[in-house]
Amino acid sequence: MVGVLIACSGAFGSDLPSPREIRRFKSGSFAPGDAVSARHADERAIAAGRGAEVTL
Amino acid sequence: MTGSAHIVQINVSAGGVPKRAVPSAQVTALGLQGDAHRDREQHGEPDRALCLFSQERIRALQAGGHSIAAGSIGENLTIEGIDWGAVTPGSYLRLGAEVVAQVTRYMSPCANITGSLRDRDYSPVSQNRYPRDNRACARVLQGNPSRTGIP
Repeated sequence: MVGVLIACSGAFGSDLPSPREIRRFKSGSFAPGDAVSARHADERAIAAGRGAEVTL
Repeated sequence: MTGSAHIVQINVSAGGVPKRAVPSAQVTALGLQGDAHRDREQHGEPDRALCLFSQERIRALQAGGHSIAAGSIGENLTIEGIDWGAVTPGSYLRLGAEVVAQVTRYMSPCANITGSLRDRDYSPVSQNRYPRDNRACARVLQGNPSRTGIP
């Protein structure tokens, strides 16, 4: 499966990848105990059509 | 952002629930390797590659008399330390060092999970009844195949 960045604006925090850093997805792994961090959606921006839109 | 948030448990099954804990998992854009779904219309496409749920929500349901446990209602990842109410469609989650997922929608409950819920009533995990207390679906956005070993 190929990930294609369509558009992304202001959706990432400093500890998450920038839009340019999002790359074609191949595979990865994780395990219990691994850290989780979140960048929550800017719901107003999404409602206005300015949120992150990434399609696989 | 919650610094101590982490993956509590990774769950897979050959189809159906409960999903059982595994010590680690490889993930692709279609979900966890080794995980399968009986209902392929409702599960397993890229926008629903992962099902995520909150350990705190599971504890709250247990306190309410439900027999739910991690994986028993089919989530792939049980996560602790995240403000689950803020995990809405569009949110991004970094899962470990290699994977980023984006929440796409909430998971619709079905009769298959009622064995884990009091009186076989799935409304406690219904988005319509309890907004933002539900399981979330996510697509997988990033992975680095050169870093497949988790220390």
